[in-house]
Amino acid sequence: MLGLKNTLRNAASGMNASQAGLATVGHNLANADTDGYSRQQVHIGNRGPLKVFTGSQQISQAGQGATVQNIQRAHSTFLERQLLRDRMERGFFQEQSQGLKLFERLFDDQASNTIGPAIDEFFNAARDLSQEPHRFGNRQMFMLSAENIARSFNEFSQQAHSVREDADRTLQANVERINELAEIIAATNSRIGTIEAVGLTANDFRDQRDIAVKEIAELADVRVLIHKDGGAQIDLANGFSLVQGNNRAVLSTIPDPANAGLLAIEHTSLSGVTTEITNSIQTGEIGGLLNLRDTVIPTHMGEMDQLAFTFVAEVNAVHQAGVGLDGLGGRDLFDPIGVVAGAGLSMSVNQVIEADPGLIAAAVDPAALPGDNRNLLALADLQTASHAVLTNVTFNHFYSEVIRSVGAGVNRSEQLSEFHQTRFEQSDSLRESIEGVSIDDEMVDLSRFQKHFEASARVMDTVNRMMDEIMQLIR
Amino acid sequence: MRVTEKQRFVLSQLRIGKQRVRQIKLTEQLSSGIRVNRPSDDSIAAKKVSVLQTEYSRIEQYQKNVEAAHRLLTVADHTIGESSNTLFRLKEIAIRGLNSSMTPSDRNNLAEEIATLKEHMMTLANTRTENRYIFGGYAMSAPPYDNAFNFVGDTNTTSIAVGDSSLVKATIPGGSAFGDGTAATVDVFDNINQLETAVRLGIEVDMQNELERLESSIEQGIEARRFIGLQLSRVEASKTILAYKDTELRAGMAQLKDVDFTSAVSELKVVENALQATIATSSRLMKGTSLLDYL
Repeated sequence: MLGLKNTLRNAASGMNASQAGLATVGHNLANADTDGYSRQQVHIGNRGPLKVFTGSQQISQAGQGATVQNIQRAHSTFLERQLLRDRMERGFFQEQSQGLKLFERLFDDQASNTIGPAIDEFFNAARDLSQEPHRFGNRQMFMLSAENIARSFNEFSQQAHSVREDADRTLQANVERINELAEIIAATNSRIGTIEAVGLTANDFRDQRDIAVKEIAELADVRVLIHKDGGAQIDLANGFSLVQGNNRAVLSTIPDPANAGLLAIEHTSLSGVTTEITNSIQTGEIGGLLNLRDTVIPTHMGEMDQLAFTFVAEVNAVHQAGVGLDGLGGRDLFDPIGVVAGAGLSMSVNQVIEADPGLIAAAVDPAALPGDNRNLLALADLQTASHAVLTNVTFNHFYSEVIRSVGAGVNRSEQLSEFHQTRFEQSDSLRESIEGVSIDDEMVDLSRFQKHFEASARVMDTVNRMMDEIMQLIR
Repeated sequence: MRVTEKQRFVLSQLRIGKQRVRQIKLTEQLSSGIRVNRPSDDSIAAKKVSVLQTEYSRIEQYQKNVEAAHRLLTVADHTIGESSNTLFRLKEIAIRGLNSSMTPSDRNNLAEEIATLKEHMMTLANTRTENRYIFGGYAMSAPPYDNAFNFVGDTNTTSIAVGDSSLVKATIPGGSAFGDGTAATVDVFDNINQLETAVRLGIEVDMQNELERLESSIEQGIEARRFIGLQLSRVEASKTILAYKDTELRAGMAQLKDVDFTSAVSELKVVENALQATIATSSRLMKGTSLLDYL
């Protein structure tokens, strides 16, 4: 016999289901703008039949109403994976182009301390002095221009190094952030494990974990593996494990004496083994910073060092051949530099000559003082001479080529950064289209569940009135 | 494909942002008048500008050198011109000294005048400009002729660069103009000294000899001025070439570096129109009717 009671229960189950639906709509709408939120959907199912005996003893089945089977989040594993890769690439080029733009400012020819104009000025000072080599004032001016070159090279090296140090500071913050995120992932792993062990889906915790994984992907190469129990395994570049279940490895930074005291990244595994992984990280913001710090800027610094080294060697060679006002030769104008590496930083003028500009070797012939300017003429000719070690071009041409390659590097980096940004946006738009909350959709659902609720309530009302009828029969 | 609200807003935001970036770049170019504000704006142009800048600063220096050479040569030219005048004056005196009606006291007066002119010649030969004795050769910081009228300078000339591998001689050694005691030159001071003695003593033969030597002295001065004139014409030629190069380099750098206002302004106009359109469509997209308005 199908009782009214059963119908009442059915109506109640419908009201329950639509309430769950409404709650989910509310949840979705509340999170319509939440980063990384995946829209949730209520799956309402049939509660299964109940065997009933009708008057003729035949068994038939009657429905028992509806139940909320589960609430799932809309999720595209494929797109999420694509987005992780896009994030890594985007992070790499964003950091690289930002750092390069800082570096590029060192070549701004409007600035007073740039090397190109300083070299021009030096040779012009030599020509100026060649007009009146006996004049002390002109000699002082020449010395000032030599000092200016040395200072420009020094400042360039210092500032280029400080761009590397800036990269280091960001690097350190990023490494600390990875540790925090690894902590969050390990913690959510354990929560998801607990919840999903009883057959539920931990939608919101999975969202939280995804957000943390995405953020790590912005920072470094990362691979994600979701195990059957719902736990995520996070591996860094080259398979260094970062999170496994509830456990996580630790990243740390340590000054590397072999790299001018800049930071190296170390990985301490779950079992406590420490390995340096600096060079394994190839993408993400950290990859971009490392590329900038250890490859791009050092390349250009090396070029400038080569320029400084060659300049000092060539100028000194000419200067040594001449004689000062005291009739003696063989003096260096700049302190000789032994190795190319760091030449720009160590460049300095000879203190002896700086103290007495009379010692500037303007003359060739010690018997033709003070008017002999032939050595200065030879010195000035260095400006237009080609130098084999500088790819067979002049000092200034070499410098101009460095400017070009820095400019082109910034350009390329910016373009790639924009390209990956666009690609990320496209993937994110696709992801949003699947996982995002559409207010229109939710409004439709809202009406749907409202109507559903109203209908179930109407059934309950009808049953209620029928029961009243029966009660009145009894009276 | 579903389109969510977030997509609509983010897209509008991105599109407007991109137009704004272009707008700012163009505004920067227009307000500075410079197209290449940093190497990455146009790396090839930046390199060319840097190369031209070097050449330009060298040209500017050569122009200064030309001025200096011009000053030195002009001073030398005027000085030797003045010395020629003095020599002509001496010639007149010598001719007057040869006149038989001259009394010893007249000749004495003439000799005194010669002595004064000799001092004048000395001043000319020891001319000092811009803190240098221009006839001293490389020995330019001391007077080239000492009190006994002996030349103590050297025979060098100061070369000044007025172009890449182009030197002019900006000075002439004193010997070439006033003699330095060697056989190759006429010693003007010895000439005047001898003349003074001859006039004072009234020795006609000597006066005649010195008068002839005066001709050689004058000839020597003319020769020196010819040399200076040659250098000056080279200086002038360099000046013209440098001025031409200067204009050319300036124009070249401007072409690489400066904003083409017409195209920049029209591009800005295009960007502004695009921005306006983007804002208009975005606002419609964002305001766009939703079910919310009907439920």
